[in-house]
Amino acid sequence: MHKSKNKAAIRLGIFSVMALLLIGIAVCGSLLAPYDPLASDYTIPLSPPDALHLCGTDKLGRDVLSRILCGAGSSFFLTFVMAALVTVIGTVVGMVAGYAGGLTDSILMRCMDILLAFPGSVFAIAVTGIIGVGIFNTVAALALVWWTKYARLVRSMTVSLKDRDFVWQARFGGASESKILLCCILPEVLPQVVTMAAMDIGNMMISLAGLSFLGLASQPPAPEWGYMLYESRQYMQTAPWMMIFPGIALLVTVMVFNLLGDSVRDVLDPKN
Amino acid sequence: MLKRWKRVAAGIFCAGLAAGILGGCSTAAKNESDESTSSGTSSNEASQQTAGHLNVAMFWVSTSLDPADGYDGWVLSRIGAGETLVKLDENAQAVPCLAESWEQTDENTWVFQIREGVTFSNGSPVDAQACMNAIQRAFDLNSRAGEYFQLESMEADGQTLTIHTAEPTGAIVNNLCEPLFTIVDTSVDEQTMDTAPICTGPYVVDSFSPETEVALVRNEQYWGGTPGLESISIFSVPDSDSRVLAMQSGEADLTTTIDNTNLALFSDESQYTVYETIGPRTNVVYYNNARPLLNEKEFRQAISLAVDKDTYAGLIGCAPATGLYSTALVCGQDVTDPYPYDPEQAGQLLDSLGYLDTDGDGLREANGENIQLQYYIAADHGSADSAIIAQAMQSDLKKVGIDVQLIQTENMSDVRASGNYDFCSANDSTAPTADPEIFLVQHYMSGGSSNYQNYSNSEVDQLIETLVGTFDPDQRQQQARDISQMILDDAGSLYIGYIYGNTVTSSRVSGAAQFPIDYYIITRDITIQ
Repeated sequence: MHKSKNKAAIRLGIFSVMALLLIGIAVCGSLLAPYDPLASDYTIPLSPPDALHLCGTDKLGRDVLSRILCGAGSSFFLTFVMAALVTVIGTVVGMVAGYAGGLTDSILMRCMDILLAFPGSVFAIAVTGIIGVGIFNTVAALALVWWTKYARLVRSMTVSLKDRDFVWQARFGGASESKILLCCILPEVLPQVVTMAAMDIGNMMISLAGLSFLGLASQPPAPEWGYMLYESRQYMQTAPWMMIFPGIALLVTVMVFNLLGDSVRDVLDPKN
Repeated sequence: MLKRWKRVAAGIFCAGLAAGILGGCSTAAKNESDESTSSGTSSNEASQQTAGHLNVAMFWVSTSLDPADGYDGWVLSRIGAGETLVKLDENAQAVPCLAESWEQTDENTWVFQIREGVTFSNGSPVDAQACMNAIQRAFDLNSRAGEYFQLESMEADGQTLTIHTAEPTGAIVNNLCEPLFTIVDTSVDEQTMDTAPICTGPYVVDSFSPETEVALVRNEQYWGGTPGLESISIFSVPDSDSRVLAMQSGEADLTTTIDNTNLALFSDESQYTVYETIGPRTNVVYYNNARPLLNEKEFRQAISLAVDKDTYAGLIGCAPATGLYSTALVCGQDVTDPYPYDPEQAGQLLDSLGYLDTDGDGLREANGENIQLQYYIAADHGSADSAIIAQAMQSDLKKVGIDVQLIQTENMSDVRASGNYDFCSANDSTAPTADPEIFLVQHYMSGGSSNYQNYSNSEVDQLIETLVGTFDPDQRQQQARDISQMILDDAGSLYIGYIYGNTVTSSRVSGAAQFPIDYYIITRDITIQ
């Protein structure tokens, strides 16, 4: 038991370092980039990877590596904004619904059911169609459907927690309802929410890149992985490096965050 | 332990799958394999039965085949089923088709002699009355007909069709080539018009599933000699990359409108034949002439000067444009570009207009604020060209101190209608029937139906009116050339390049051709080994 927990902690450490490394690259991507990601050079369109351009150039002669490095920033930032949005909204709504019960619970849960009835990505596409194309709109649209599963988790935990002895003790002690939610329920719920969010980061990144691929999020010429993949589609056979390198970047990032999420769960899991 | 590794493996698998799907590689490949299982089975069976079967990957199959419905007549014509009185040949010249000859007897009267002995595919004779009914039907059902000419009345006498126009229309012969005026048998049940219209072309529609597939068989009655193929399957593959894959896998024997970059994949002459020709399509950036700044002619000139458009044309594989009309047409030749790339002169012009960068941020200001122009782009005709032009233009304009914001839109017509834009991309045919008139009337006449760039020049308006009333073809071309030169001098719009049309066939196919006017793909002459 102790040994396995130790191992989980080591894994968590390794993946955290990797994730931090990736975040580091994302934050100072524009410093690491060998070229200006927006600078086009019409003399070298679609040139294959070489010593000067390690990942080749795109149709406008822009350096693909620089675009990947600079694109990491927006991909990461948006994902974290979205993760923050969905966890906060989900936790608040879930706790309120679970704790209040009755009519409030029913209304909130039915709203959630309605949102859950739509396929997530399709709903997000519809929402961006209405509120307009743009990165923040897309994040908002995805968050609008995404928070529901957090709310469900938190609600069910709150329902089982609210009749526990320590909560009754606090209640008898004269604690206000908001204090009970903040000091008794939230600390119990939080580890689960964090675990869920950590395991979800990869999914969110893929979804955002997916909408970007459809041209709904990032606008040209901003470097963004999903949009880079979209741009490369046409050159799949003639200039595959335009697709392979952003694809690898996305794959590695999503994998690291998925593994990190797994190890967070192993460490925080109350069963361990 | 085992469980954990399962999870890790699943994670890697999912991430890989997701990246793959996003990469489009597997999307395209998957679509293709779906395609091959659905439509491929039937066509493979067919090709085993007869050698004369052709599979065509088409970029657009319409929702109906009724020639009077929207642009569906174009599909009917492309698949070799529909024919018009007059057609446009390899040199974009109007040549006889169902009409043997024609003459103009006065300003508003045109007399067409219908070819003797032509029958519809159901055996009914094609006489002047049948042609009149078909043309009348186009006018009754489609408002676009009235844009080509104003019909006053028609008379049919044996094989002689007389058309009276309400106003003198010099373009009528060319405009009758538009597949909207396909000669279709109107005596049959109107219900069949959507799925199996009776026409005169070398092939007859056998079965049709909207937006998916059309099966055609040889028209045994064809007036122009026996068609070269037993049967044809046309299947819809809207994505250019998927059409490339369909050709490479042998799924399709013929396809058209491949993205220029991918043509290199078909360079092996022992396997493929590529036909390429410049058509009347252009890549154009419209300036909204009514917006602040862009309503000043000098400002528009400066923009035109700052843009290295010949290089862009090279990037997207177009022929560099000099003016409105492509070099496929007489009126497109000998036009000079008044504003060739000269960023220095552009800078001087902007300086002289008083748009200076006073706060040193690299961007010029107008009325104390940085100049920012909004550029709307749409993936017109499924092509990435407009996005490439827009990004290149953004980068070039930045060099002269003008900031451009790019906005992608799905619904360009709304943006245009609202007038809330500075630049917008378009892929327009400037002479859809190889005649220069209709484009000028719609796009550059004050109040024209597509004049969303708000171009207005009274002198140009007058000249367009003169053109409309001119009948001599050479004179028409000359007038159109002069008008286009005036619009260019005004820096009314920015013409980037003339688009090459292409047709790719496997080497087993012969007799195909790429026509400058894209009404024709399947012809009688196509054969397969």
